[in-house]
Amino acid sequence: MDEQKQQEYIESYLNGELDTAELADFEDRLASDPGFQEKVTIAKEMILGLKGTILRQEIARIHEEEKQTEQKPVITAEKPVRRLYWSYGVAASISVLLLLWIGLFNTSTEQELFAEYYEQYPNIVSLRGEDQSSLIEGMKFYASGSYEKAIALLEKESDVSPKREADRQFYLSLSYLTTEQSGLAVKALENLNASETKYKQQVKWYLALAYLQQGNRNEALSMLKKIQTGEYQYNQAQEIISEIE
Amino acid sequence: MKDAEILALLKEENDKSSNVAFRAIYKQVFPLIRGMVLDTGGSEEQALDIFQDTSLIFFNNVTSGRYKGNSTISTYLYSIARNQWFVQLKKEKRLPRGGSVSEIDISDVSAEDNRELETIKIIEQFFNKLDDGCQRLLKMYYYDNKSMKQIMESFNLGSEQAAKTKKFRCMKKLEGLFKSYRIDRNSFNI
Repeated sequence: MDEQKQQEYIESYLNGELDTAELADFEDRLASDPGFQEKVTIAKEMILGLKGTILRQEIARIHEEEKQTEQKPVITAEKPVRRLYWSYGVAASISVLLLLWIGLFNTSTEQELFAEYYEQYPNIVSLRGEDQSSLIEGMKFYASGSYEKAIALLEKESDVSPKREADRQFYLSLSYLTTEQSGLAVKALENLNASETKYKQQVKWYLALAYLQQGNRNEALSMLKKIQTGEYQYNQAQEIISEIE
Repeated sequence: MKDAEILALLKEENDKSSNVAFRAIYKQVFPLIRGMVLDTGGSEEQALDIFQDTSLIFFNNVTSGRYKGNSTISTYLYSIARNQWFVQLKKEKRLPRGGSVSEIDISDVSAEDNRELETIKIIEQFFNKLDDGCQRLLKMYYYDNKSMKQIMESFNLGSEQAAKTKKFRCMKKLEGLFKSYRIDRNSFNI
């Protein structure tokens, strides 16, 4: 087998494209020929390395592009089109774009906007052994997406530091929001919004979303307008404002 | 974007779906990682670097089936990032006061993850030494998942066979660079 054929053969194996008989042959050779084994290892590492190298470049490009959109003022006529394009990954076929374009002129309901913009906030709290166990367990459930269980535990008031109390209230309110208990979410977030915590910026954003979930357009709008340039989710807030105003 | 959508996009393994998925991940997670890195004395550039490493580990875990979805994507990525960053701070002897690596949950990053990351960084150096044509072709084939026919058209080659041969030569160049590195590395280990 010439070298080029061999490279193609190895790649077919790595892509899982060999049939049963070919696979048996390949594995026999792999077991009995250390030189061949080495070639397969090298090919595997090279392909992994290539994909990773290019992914790294792509991420740097996304970073540059996002940095630029952040600096640009929001242009209402153009921005929604771009957002839809990226979020659905639609190829630039004219007919599909046309459909999206028509879609823009249907005003979304508050709940649709909520569903479009709501994303789970990650668990960024690092807890230690001495922290209250209901908080530790509650955060684990939150991180794994079991929100009902998280709520049951996080509702237990903590008797620890104010910092941990903010963690508890913040993640409890997000669990309410995810399980569509908007009344409770709004109450908890309004409470947090009234005090100084490290979640100050995040609270404004999620409180606005909670109002949207309730169908309370005016409150949502005024909260979104309080999110300032450079703050958490500023661009997304501007997008929603331009959509509902 | 929902986690399930992101995972489905990544499993397609082509340039467009990966771009959409990583843009969504970027918007969700990068501000948090950036905040963590800047708060502990790091730079914007280091934040991007940590985010890139974290994304690579995540991508490899998703495509190899090692990511089981036990925690949500954003939590998973943030914990990997925190881990990578604290390990780096420890190396630079700049761990924040009261912080130690033992406090971090290191179960999310395996030795396998770190080996893969190291391989990627080595291949990256050699990839950058290839000519533009080879770089573009290898990206089209391995990352964009384009067919030989599409590559043939894009490079104005006469046949698919010619495209295959061109791809073979590019891989051969990369392999040459990589092999000499492996030999050096192995002889150092002895």
